[in-house]
Amino acid sequence: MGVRIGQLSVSFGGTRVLNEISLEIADGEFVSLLGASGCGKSTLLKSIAGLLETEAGSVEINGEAMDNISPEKRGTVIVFQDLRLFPHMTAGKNIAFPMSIKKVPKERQQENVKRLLKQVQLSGYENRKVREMSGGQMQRVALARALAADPRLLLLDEPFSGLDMRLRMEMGELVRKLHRENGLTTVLVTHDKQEALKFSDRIALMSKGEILQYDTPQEIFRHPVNREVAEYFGRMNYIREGERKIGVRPFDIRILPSGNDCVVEEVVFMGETAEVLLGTPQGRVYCMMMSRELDEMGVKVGERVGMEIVGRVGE
Amino acid sequence: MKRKLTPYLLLVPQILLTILFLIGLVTGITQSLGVIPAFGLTEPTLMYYKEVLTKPDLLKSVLFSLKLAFSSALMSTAAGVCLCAMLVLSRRTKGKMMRIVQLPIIVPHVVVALFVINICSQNGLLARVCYRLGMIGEQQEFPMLIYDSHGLGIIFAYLWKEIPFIVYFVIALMANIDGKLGEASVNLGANRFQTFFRVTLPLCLHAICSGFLIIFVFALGAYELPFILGATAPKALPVQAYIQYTHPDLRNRPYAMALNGMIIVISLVSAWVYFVLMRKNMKNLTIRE
Repeated sequence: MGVRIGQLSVSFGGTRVLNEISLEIADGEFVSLLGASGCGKSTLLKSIAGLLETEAGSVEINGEAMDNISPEKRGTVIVFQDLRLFPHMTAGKNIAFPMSIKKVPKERQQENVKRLLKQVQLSGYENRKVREMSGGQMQRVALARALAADPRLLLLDEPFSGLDMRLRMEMGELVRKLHRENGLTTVLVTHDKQEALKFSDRIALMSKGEILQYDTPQEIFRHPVNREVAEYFGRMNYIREGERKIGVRPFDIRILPSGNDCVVEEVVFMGETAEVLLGTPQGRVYCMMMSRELDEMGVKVGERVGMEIVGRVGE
Repeated sequence: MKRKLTPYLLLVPQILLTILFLIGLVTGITQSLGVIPAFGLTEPTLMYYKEVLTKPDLLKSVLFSLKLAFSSALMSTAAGVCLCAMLVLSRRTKGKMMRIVQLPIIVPHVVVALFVINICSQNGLLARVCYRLGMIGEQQEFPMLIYDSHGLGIIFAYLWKEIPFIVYFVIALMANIDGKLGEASVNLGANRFQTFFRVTLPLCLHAICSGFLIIFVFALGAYELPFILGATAPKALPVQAYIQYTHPDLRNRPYAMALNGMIIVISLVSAWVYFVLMRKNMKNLTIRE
């Protein structure tokens, strides 16, 4: 199910929220819309689903213009950030809701509910009231309900933002698995770069209603089009090399214990990794390395060390 | 010390009002049981309640009041919910339209009674229009819509006041549900009407029932509209109670208090149902974060 967005603009009360956005999503692709809060990613998602009035531009799904197609007929389903499960229904009835709208026979509805609950690892929860479920369980019900609508395009609006790290990753993997198994085209809105890098085929990084870069995770990370994109994925060092300044990620700086042109100013232990702040003739440089490796080196604050650049952004 | 006392000091006006209310309530219930020592009535008895429920004119008052309160509450609720539905579906739940709809809430009931007389009486606006249009030969042929034994004028006046009240009571919740869960429902393939009937309305049901109960209890205990617009017979409970209270024979006062006792009992049951419904409503609308 391919999606083509052309020159899409949306304004709220005279303020442009989306500014001539163009984007193509291939059939079966998993795309993440990444960006800080307020950059317009949820607005773009709702515009695709037809839940917002657009000011200009077009949305095509599978080659069909969506201009005059109402939201319920677009075949797009959003899993909202606040999930929006119907509190007066059980988990099973929530999942059966889109099928009952389509007048699917009751027996088939029940079969599908069981199958979907199994897919989201909640077998036996048909009659559980929504308010009696945990956050993670509700996320799964919301996913199952979205799948029950048999969507042409699955849209996920930061659905895991309320979960802890472990559960987020678990849910992300589940979404990726469902995406593969059901042959879906999926768009995930997130502000978590790790989530986007890990699960997406392509990432559209947004800022102030515009797409800064739309590329594969490797490309967008290694070859950012500008500083803003590069810095979104983590801290950057800018080091003069001859006539030009180059961008270097902290992991691409290697500490040489034998050298003596830098001073270790600070060491921050971060669990598996450690961040070392080096004072160099060119200014301060951040270096990131595995904490075990740092321990083995025995580097201490105040010691003199050397520094080697092993990779450059854009190379 | 001063800080500790502040909450209690702030509560004093409420406590005083509650004490006054409770004194009135206990005095009324005591008198309804036939205990008024000043009139030589000292033996507690349920006789007055029995008579209220068996004497034809008093029983008629009870039934008439129940009918009035129930039908006006039911019709106001039904019409109010329909109006809410139209406003929500047309996304006009804020601004000018809402202010117009809610305008009658600030008009006192006595003024509404005068409006109803001007509109619905045989000398009123409707009668004149019908006469001018040749629908009736003379104005006296216009049906008795006020001072009638069915209480049509009273019901009409309550509708005028209470339909906007239901809109006021329900629309914020309905608009909020329709905005969020309604959007989710549309997103899952339901059209606006399916969304309204399968998601929005069921989730508003407890609030709607609560609104119904408030109107029911108010109409049951209200005096001015049945007094101004009601027929000579049957009389509404509060009117009948007042007549008994001001009866030249002071020993009739327990009848008045027994009639009030009926209103209190029905109101207490309604208040309890209201409390249960509101608690359920909150539970239904709250999903654990």
